[in-house]
Amino acid sequence: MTTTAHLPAPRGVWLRSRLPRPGIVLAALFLLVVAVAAVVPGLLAAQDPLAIGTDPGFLPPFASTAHLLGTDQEGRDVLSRLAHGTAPSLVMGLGATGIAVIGGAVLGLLAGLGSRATEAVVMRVLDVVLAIPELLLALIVIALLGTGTEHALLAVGVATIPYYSRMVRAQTHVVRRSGYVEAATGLGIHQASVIWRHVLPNAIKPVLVLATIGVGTAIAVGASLSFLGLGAQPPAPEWGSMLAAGVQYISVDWMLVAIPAVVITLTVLSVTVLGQDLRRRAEGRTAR
Amino acid sequence: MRAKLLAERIGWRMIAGVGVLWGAATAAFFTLHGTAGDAALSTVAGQGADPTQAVLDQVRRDYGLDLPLWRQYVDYLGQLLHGDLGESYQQRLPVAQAIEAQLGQTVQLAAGAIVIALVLAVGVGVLTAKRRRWVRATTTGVELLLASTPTFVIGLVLLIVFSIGLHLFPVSGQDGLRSLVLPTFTLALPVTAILSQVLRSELEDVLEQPFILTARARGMRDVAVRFRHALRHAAIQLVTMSGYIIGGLLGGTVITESLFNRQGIGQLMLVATTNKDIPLVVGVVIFCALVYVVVNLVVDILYTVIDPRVVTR
Amino acid sequence: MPLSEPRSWPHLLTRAMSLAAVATVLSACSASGLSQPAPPHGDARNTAAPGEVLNGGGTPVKGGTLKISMAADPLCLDPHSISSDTEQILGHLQFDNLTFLNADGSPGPWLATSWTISPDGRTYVFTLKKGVTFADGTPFNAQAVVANFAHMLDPNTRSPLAGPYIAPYASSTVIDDYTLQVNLKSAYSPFLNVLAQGWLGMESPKAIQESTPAQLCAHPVGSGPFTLTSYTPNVGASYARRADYDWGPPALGQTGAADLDGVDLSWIGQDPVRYNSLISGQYQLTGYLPPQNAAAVQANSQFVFEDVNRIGWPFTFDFNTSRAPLDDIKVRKAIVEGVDVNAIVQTSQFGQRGVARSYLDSVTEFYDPSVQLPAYNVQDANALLDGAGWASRNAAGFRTKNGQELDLKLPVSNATTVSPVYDLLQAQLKTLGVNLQVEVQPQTQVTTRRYAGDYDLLSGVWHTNTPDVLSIKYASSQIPNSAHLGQNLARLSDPTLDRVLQRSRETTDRTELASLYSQAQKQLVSDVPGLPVYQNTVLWAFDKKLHNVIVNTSHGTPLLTYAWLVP
Repeated sequence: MTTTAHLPAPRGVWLRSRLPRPGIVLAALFLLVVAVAAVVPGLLAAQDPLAIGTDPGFLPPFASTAHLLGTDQEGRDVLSRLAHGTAPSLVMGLGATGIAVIGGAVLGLLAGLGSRATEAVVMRVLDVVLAIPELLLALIVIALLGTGTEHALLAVGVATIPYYSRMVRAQTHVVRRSGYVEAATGLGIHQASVIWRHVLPNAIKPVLVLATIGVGTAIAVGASLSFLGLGAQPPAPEWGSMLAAGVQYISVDWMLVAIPAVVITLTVLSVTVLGQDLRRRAEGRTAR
Repeated sequence: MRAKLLAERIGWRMIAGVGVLWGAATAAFFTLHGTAGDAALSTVAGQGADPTQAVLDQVRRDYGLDLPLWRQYVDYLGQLLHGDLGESYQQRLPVAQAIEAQLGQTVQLAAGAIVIALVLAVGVGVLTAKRRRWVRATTTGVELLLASTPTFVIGLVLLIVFSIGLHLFPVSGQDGLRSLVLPTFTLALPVTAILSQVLRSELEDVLEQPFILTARARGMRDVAVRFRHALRHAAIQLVTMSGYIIGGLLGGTVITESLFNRQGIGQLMLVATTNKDIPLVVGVVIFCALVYVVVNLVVDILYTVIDPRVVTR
Repeated sequence: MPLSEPRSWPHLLTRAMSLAAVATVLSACSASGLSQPAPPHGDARNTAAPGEVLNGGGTPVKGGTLKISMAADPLCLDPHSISSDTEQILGHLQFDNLTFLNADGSPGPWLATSWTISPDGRTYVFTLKKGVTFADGTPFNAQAVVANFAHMLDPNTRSPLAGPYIAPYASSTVIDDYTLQVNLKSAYSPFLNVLAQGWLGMESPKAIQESTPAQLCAHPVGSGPFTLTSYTPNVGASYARRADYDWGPPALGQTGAADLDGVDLSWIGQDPVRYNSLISGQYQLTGYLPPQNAAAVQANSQFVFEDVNRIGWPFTFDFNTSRAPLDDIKVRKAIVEGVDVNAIVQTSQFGQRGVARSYLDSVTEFYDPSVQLPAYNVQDANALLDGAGWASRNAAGFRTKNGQELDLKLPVSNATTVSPVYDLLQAQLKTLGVNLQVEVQPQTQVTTRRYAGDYDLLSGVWHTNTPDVLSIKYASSQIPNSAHLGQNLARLSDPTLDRVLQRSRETTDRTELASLYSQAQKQLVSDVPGLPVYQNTVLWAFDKKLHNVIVNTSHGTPLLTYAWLVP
């Protein structure tokens, strides 16, 4: 007995929009800047993101050449914190997706290639994971292990495993039905090599597409957890926690909310746009 | 024959559903009990409290926290079989009652969000499918932006603009419809974006079908064609997505309720998990799993109604 | 945005003096009590004195429902079962106490009209007020008081404050309906003070007897000026006026029932939302104004803003003196001298709170202004650390000793908003070569670590209404261990201090108490069990349409018994 025919997927997977080319170029350029900020934050902002200097707090953007995006409630440079906060935010997105992809691949193969009993057990376990909303699962993991990017990452990764494993399992079924596996096993080829040569290459494209969009979702969920006070630990800069801190001062200086909010949204948007482009290519559709 | 198959199928699904509930309860029970932190201490000795040892000992005895873990688990399962979810450590109420007390508000919010999302998505989807390039580009752009914006950012923008800026709606609370507007839209907008995209995509496929051409040839007006014929066929995709949407809404309420200071299941989740109120967390997990199981069951039955071939699959 | 200057010491002295002036006025005209018009404000920081009447004068208007907002729902309204700060405000709407503090911090009468104390300090005989009834009709009498004490101490009540505050209680003897003898296990001079706290309000013995703990949480019954009409957890509560109320604290100098028809309360957890809903007129009073919005409210002529210093233990980082490296007094002294507390307070508290330089808040009775920790001095601090053996530094710039880095672990709960104070302290300690590790964890884990002693620093406040807070925080008997909970989180064990604190519980002689508490403060400054940061104050604000709000003498919170509202 299989579960429902529908395959829940993370937000964004159905977006089949056809964005004009410039959008894709802009998205790629923005992500390039983000990537540079993640690897060498010093290039974009020379100041120490933790330094609490003599400068006053709540400086507006562009008011001072020393602080292009102004200062926060403790007089720290917002641009520097934003730049230095890039890596933890990206690690959240990439790490969670990495866990989901690897976990999903292992469980998907186990279900797809294992015995009927194995498949049933794996699918029921995945059902249990799916039955608990992603954010509740993350809250429980954090309640148990404590706050911090690594725990939030683990939680979001585990919660999204089922989407990938279902996809991988479906692919192995396709491969199986096509007769490769029977033929290959009949020829005495080891199962590991069947997986390596036939199943994975077939599964990789859709998984990659799903993963790209998943990175965007994971960044957004990570920021949500930080917003609830359950993500990155202070005073380490991270987009979501910058935003959460800024909300406290929204009536004093709303730029402290607006700046990280715009950056988070643009990043997720860019990743989604690229993911969709990738998807169109994978499906062989061209932009009309 | 078909009815028998259907009944059998539903029967199996219900057994699988009970399995999911048991699995979710067991996993939550052991992970919560098995990890760092003394639940009895956190129940009585939070910040600002100075309880006596006698109180602590009493709480350990009351909740069986002094028993070995397997014993606690067996006792809990026994309770569950009698439909008893236990007592919340913090609220000292039966867990079922604690959930029930919050349920109404969340249902109100989620139902409102679903209605808004459906109306907006159907309207936008139907009216923009197969339209001029700039119309589609603009709507897709907006949809993409909304779908990519984290829920709390949408909520904050609505809060700043409509409440703090324009004073159109109260910033918080739950009295009356006005206080429901901003949280409902916060929850609905991302869902709307996804739904309208899916719908348009489906519609564009349907609008190329021969029967649409026939309808148009009969002289039917464009809007009527879109709403009467095309929409009905595209609706199947919406049913498919309902499980995903409801799951997303349940998660989204945590953010929305916390941002707009509303009571509800989301707040309950947050409070229960941060206080390590084990029976309450396990209760909420079981509740969410139940929603998931029931929604999937209903979707499954709907499928068989819409498309009889599914049963024999 | 302009920030006001941090509160300086001369200012605090002025405040202490004006406080003394109010006390004099009070004793001079005790008949009219606290309702004397307050001296003109003129204080830029709007710090009101205990007992002061705010927005007073005028002819009271009857009727109207006051809408107020609070920060967090304690999820229970039974005062004996909770430790939430909100009870200081809510408790006095619904409940009355045996005593009420005078403006100078000494206990005065309320439902107990007078008392005698035996010379050994262990037997109290109370005379109780006649004609008082609870909202359910049950009469208030000696039996009712006994039932209340029993309820506070019953382990099933899980009392986090009320019970522990009367821990020395042994038994009661009902002499007649309105005379009660209370026997204590040991002398306990703060007894009359703690009886004035909101958490020790008198509940109907009938309600106590007939309710489960959850029912009592949802619907407690008191004898106060208002009765609870509805309560929705996390949302709000409504209170309605009791027409036959006529037993307010004599010190208020007013009699009869409340002028307001009722009070509607909402819980609003988010700081910005709470602030904006006050400004937009959705509420007429908020019990917890976020410090970052204080300046804006202060500048707004539509509101009365208050920033009231509280009795008790200031916001302080406890040093764990039971383990390395803070078992070394040189390291503790170095931190106290090497951290510029002024800078931290100015940045984090927006000029709304004064710097603390001792282990008692300055408004506490018997606070000794001459006892202070050494001033900020980085050279001294570095010399102390060098002398303690932490002379070498590693690549990261942190001090080391035998290859060990000078690390301090500070567990912080994620349940509350993480204060900028931690960031600021971390940055300052870094320049001293000390690595402060702020560990944000679930409340459960922080609580477990707190009682297990697994930390170097912990932060907190302890507001109460008696200098006996020093026994709660620093008596060696209060060090938590596996068989006993307690609040001595510095795990300080100083026999000299123990003797002084013990003696302070045995005497009610005010001259002797002044000298004993002064000794205790001196002893603590030499023990350095923590880093005090700022004076604990409570920030609240209300719309000027609301009149006759009194600053509670016990915790500095608004007392709304005789408040009235212009429509």
